[in-house]
Amino acid sequence: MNRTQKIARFNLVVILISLILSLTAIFILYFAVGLPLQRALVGFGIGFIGIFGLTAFSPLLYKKESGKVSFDERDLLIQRRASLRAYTIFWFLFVLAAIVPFFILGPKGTISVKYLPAMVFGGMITVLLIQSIVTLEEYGWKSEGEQS
Amino acid sequence: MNRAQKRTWLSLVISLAGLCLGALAMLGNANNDHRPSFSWLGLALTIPLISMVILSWRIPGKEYDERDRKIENKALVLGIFGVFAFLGGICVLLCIIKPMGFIEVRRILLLVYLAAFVWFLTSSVAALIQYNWTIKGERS
Repeated sequence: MNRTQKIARFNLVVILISLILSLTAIFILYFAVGLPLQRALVGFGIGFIGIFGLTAFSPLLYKKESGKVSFDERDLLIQRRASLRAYTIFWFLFVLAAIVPFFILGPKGTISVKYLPAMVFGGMITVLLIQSIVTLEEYGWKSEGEQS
Repeated sequence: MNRAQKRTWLSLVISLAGLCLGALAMLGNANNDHRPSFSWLGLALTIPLISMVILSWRIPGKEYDERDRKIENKALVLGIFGVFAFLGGICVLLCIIKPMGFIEVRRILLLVYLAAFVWFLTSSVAALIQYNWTIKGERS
């Protein structure tokens, strides 16, 4: 498994853990504890998504080995394909997130400013998630692959 | 200057024009007075966006060589960093100005437009920096 695969696997695991923990917290607080949905969402559910910040450390965890070629043309092609797919899906969802309130509330409708950070944070998660999945998919999801 | 560089320069100019139009539309209606001239300005933003689509048709990526592809790839990644930095900045600004406030939904649409132009602009600048901003370069 090469460096790109390791980073993609790490990011995928971290994103999935943060999403699962976040959803579990929302469900427990809303259904078991009986908190209002908004408090369950903002207070606790979103808090667990903070774990997602660990993905920023993935390039530091898997450092480039000096004196070795760590990136060839195939890796570049895979990275390009993963980036393009992630950005396509991100832009589609991002535009959708802007258009849906426009059609529901009308052109003069207003929405809480908290909606914007949620859009941006959701966008970041989408980009990293799709990029990781496509990268691992392109390499074949194998733990033992070519070492570049 | 090769085709990739020409395309990048054109993209830079179009995205700058789009960004200026978007900023004017955003700031022009800052007081929520809904002046029609600024609303039309917002609609006019579709022109640079369509120009970007036409540009990608007219100068397709398949004529690029490996080096151009590598540069474009890095520029794309830096472009999305630029978008998130821009949107993050806007979020921080909004949370400081009106933490419990509301925003008009049409402004969110305008922000999406602006984010798209920030992406094109950051990608173009990142690509041109990698090409060393040179006008005379290798021909591919």
